[in-house]
Amino acid sequence: MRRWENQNKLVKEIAPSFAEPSGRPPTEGRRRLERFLFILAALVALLGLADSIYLTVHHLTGQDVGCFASSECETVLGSAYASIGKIPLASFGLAGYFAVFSLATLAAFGRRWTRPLFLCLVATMLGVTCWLLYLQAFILHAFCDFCLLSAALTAILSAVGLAVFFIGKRSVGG
Amino acid sequence: MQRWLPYVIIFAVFLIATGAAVELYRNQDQVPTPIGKLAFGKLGADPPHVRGAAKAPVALEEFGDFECLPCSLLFPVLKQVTADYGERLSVTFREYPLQKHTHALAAARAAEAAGLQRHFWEMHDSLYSGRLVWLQAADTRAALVSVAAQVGLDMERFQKDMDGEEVTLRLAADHDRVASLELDRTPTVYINGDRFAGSLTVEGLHAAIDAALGKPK
Repeated sequence: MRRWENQNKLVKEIAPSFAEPSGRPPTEGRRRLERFLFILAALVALLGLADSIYLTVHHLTGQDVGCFASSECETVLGSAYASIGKIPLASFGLAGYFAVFSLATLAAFGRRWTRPLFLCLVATMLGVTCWLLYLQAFILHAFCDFCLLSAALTAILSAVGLAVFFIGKRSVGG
Repeated sequence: MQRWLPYVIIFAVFLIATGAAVELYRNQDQVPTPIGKLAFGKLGADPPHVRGAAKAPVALEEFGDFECLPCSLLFPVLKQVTADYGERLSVTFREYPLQKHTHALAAARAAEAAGLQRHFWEMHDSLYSGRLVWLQAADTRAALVSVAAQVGLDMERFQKDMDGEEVTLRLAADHDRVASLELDRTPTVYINGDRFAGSLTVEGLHAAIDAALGKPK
């Protein structure tokens, strides 16, 4: 009996990460996967940050954005939906992507408290992205390359968020 | 160190992003434009018709129609305001011939054709000051040609340009700008990118331009 207790103590002390049942921390494999996902999210958020900085600055200076694939950027970015009052919508994207980057970086370094915030923020951004896609498709009948790029990046972040959510759920649920 | 590393990374990205934004803003601002800040939308005909200093701190942009009465009433007001502010104000004219005005498109074509000979503003002024003459003429085109002759244009080229593709493209570009700004009336005036909603009088425009120049009311 005493021997078994000693063995159990040894397992808990030496290899806590191998413990699997409910409420226990995730396995090393899952932890690595989660870390990889958060690093991926941080890199994607950096691209989104660059995209939104470009759009915000162009909005503030009033210069032509210069579309690649379509010629409708100005229709979208010059519409009434491109700003809230005098604040360009892209600046909200800028704040959102920077927050995602920060939360993902902290999570990648093991700050687990950032996970729910990260998931909530990504879900909110996905909702806003869907609304903006609806506006472009059905109200403005025009698409903007840089907005579509942002939508694609948010879709990737959402996929990452979903994966993180299920990994977390499995770790907690056993 | 490991404890602070994520915060250091976040702070570094914040600094880099801020620096990049400031640098991009400066570069954008240095793009040589003939006028100050314009309303955000499609660019319109390029080069635009600009009267006044190239780097004036206040840019006034008018979307006008040569047949519209309020536009012709705005014409002397803008002349007065342009004279009052001199180098501090630039005025850009954009073609917005309304469909309901039968002769507005022909007049716009005439003005653009004159513009191709670098006489847009002379034609613009003649069209507004002699509006009733060409508008009430039995043959509008002949009347517009007559106005162009008084301005001193190369008439053979003018007649050719009036129906030419270059004029059509310029009108289409201005039309795109009108559509992108969702305009629905003439005259519409923007001052430094903001739609002017006040009274289109000398006093009304003075107040808005002074505000754009940062003068106290």
